[in-house]
Amino acid sequence: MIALIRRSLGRTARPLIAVALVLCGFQLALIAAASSIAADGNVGGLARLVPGFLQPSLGLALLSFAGMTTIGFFDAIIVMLVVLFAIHLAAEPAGDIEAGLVDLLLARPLPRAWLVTRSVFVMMSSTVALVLVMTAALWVGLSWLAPTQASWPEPRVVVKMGAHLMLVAWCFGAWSLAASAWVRRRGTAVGIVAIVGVALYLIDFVGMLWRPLARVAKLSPFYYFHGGEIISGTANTAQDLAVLGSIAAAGFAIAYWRFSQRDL
Amino acid sequence: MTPAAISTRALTKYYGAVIGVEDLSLEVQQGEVFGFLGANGAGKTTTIRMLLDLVRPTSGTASVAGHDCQRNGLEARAQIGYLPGEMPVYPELTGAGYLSFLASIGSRPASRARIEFLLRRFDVSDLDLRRRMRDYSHGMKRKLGLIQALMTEAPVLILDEPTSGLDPLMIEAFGETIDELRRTGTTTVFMSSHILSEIDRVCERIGLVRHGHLVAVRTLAELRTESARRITVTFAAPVCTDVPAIPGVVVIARDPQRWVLDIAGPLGELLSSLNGLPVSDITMTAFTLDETILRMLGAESR
Repeated sequence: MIALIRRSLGRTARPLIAVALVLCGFQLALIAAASSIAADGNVGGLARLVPGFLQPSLGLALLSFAGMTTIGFFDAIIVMLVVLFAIHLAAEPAGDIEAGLVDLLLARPLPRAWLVTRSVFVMMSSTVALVLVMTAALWVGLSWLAPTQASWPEPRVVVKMGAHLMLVAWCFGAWSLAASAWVRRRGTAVGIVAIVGVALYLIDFVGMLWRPLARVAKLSPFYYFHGGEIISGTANTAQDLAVLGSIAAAGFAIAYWRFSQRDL
Repeated sequence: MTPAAISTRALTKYYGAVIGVEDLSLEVQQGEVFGFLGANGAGKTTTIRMLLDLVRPTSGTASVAGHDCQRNGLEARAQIGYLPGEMPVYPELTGAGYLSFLASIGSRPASRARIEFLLRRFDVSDLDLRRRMRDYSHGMKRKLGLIQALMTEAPVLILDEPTSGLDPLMIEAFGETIDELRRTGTTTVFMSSHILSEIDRVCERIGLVRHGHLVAVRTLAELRTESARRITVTFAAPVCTDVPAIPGVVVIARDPQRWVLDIAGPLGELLSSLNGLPVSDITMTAFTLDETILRMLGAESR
């Protein structure tokens, strides 16, 4: 198992470093921008420009320097980048089938479930690594760039942001793993789950605008990760994380079951 | 009693309405070198993939060294060294890294001496081992594939078209390796191929598979005995007698001066029937193994 994980991490290292650098860069740029706005005394001014339906999320974040610096955890592009990376990593079993590597690996006395476990571990640990790197970049950036009078985000808020981001990524990673246990091509698994992910993001977004869709939006994992609610302290973090964890667990269970049954 | 190295009982795999393999029953004994012959799509690889539990049979069973390939797949696969038909690689790994990784995930150790012997045998240099596999030719990938299958000295080798893409020197090196394994008497080799000369060179017994069905299992000696020979009987004077009806004799051409016959089986009855006829000459040409097998597949399919 360790050899499998090492091999898989070896293949993941370069894209992981690339994504981590992008996220670090974004965190630093965001803190620099927030510091500049704070120095100009415009904190809060931006919040008034945000449309009403976005006030509960983005508007609240823009009300303070500390809120602005946490946007890097729940900005749509950042969330989708982390989610898509998790989807890509978790589709590894389909990639093994597509490349014929599964023949070489499972001709040896390895349980099939190990290939799934390896991908679960690599996807989860890579996501954790990204969130840790983002958090580290946030503190480094604050130490380096924040105005002396500015109040930093509370560690409790940052931890909750990171946990939500991680769990959302694990949800989609788990469903990507389940999809890869059905199909024979990695691109197919990634494509299907990525499209579903974007659709669910849009459902959650439109759900904030349009009340009839609000109920349906509860089906989207993104519904359980609204940064503004975490900043304002109105988020039910334990419940959100439990829902996200359950969705991920269901995806993992389906992946294990299907991979054990299928022809490879 | 030692269980058969490989055994299948009524092994069947359907892909929807398509027959992958149907009702395939086969036994390969320990120490045997068995060739599994058939055209592309005949069911060879499907059978192999069921032995490795990569494909689950629709019905029937398969076992390796007495271990059921589905129920006790780990034990069965612990006995196997496998070369896939299409050699998959990790393009970013070097050859050395590839062998090292594959050695680390198996249950059987691969000794340094064995690996070095195989590297020499298949002419893989240190420089080759340091190159990334994305730069390897097809033949080089096959050589690494053979080395990884052979390096753990597994008691059962399953080789899917092992010489595909190898040059003649490497085909000879492969033949020598199989000869050495045969001499040990402890390694069973099950190799699929559609190259008849390769089977003729290394195998003791063959199974012919066509459209998912095992149509014949014979030793090469049996095949040669049973194989048809073309006999031309030339007469010193015109002969008006009909060719006697003898089982196994097929008349290809007949005129008063000459009969051309294909005969399978013993010659005695034909020679007796020529007694009293003015025979001036008899020539006999044996069909090659290729011709025999192709005729057999054709006859069985009819």
